[in-house]
Amino acid sequence: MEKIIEVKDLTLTYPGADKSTLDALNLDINRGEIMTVIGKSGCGKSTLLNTIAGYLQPTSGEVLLNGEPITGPNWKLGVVFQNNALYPWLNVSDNIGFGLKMRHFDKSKIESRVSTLLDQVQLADKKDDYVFSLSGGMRQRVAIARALANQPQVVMFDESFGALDEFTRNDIHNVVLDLWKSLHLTFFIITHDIDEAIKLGNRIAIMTPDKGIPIKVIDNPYFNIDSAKIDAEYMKYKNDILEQIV
Amino acid sequence: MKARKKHYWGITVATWLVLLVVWQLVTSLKITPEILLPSPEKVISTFINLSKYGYNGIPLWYHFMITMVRLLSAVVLAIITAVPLGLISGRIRIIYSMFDSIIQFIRPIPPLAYYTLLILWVGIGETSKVVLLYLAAFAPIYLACISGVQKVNDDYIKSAESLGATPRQVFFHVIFPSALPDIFTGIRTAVGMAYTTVVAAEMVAATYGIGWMIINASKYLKSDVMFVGIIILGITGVALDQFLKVIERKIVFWSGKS
Repeated sequence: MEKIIEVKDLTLTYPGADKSTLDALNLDINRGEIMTVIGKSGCGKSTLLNTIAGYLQPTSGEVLLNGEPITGPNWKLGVVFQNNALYPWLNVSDNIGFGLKMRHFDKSKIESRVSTLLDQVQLADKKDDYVFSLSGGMRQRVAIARALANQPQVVMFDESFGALDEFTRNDIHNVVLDLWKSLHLTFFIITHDIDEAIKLGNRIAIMTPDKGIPIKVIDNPYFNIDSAKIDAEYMKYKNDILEQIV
Repeated sequence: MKARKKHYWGITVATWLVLLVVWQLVTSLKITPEILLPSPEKVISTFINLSKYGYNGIPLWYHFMITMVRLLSAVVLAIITAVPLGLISGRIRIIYSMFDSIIQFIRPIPPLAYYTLLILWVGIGETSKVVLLYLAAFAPIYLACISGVQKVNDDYIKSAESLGATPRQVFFHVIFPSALPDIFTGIRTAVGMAYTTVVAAEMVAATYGIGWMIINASKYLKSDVMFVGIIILGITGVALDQFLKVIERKIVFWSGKS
């Protein structure tokens, strides 16, 4: 498999901290896969995402995108935040088209891409609404569409579904999987929910720095599993992951 | 979405009516001499006379307009200068370190303390009055802008950067609109501060203006004229604040809803 992101010996120590949050971490993300990342609170999941996204600079080591070092945030690396970070002064369409406008795309190009994305996230009828009038699930769909509008090479989700109720979360999972299938993008999803990690990840990265293993990637035979097919084998697989984390 | 808090308009109106009745009673029963507290009828008739014949040979509307022009020029100047400086100070620590201590030093000083100096520096005409009001209006806007910038959700900035925005675009498309609710709060406070300084500004070397009219009337114990001036200032102050609130609701329509 072709690597799209390479994390090499990544160490990150926050200023003033006596211990590194990430210590000599190595990770490869393959082009076109969905990698979910799971670990205990404080294990450095979000720090890892922030470093890959270019918001944080490594203390040592490097992060490469297509073999080139990531030196800062850029449109090729889309991010969906937990609190969605949508701009309340813009309506749904303008939020989705924000990145394209910043990159000076033609108005007609912006309109056409926004319209396609609105259809894909099933929010065409909400295009003129302001985001504060939308439900949590709808806002998260707008945030996903906004991250996709630039046609980034990797889309990262920072516990983006954690604040949603279970029904809405399942709905969003399906939207994410449908978009992944149709757009053939690479998704990198941070989560604290083990079922979510198993449902959404082709591969699962388990972070257990407290056990001396910065990150360990396992294959996931239960990717996109239908909840009706959950059996004893699934439960054993899930418990194995849990035991590694706890 | 937050429901707007209910306002009991009936209670507000009733409170004002009670105040008017008490005022009327106190003056009708001659509890205080008319020179200290003129009756409501006297104030109304004085207002009608002032409207017809003006004060000191100058029409009442001219007194009013000149006060408003002084006030609004000072506030507009303060907006033009304090908003960019406050936004930049909120974002760039070097600029903040340069200006903040100076503004914090000037802010608590009562304007009258340096008014005479201003007159000596910029002259006795309109400039000193406008500068005095400007200095009163500047700090609230500047401080509100700094607070607005510092409160900008960090994820707004990060997501703009990840969407391809340049630092300049982040400033104009994310930080500025994010800070707008605070900027409006600052402007409303600034208008209030300038308003409370307007009488002081018209105390020295003025020959017109509502503030001057009040000061001049006080010299001759014309309490009815003073009441007219005070009521005009009060009503105008409330009207200005309401006008700003309407504009705020139109421009910063998302405030409190996100």
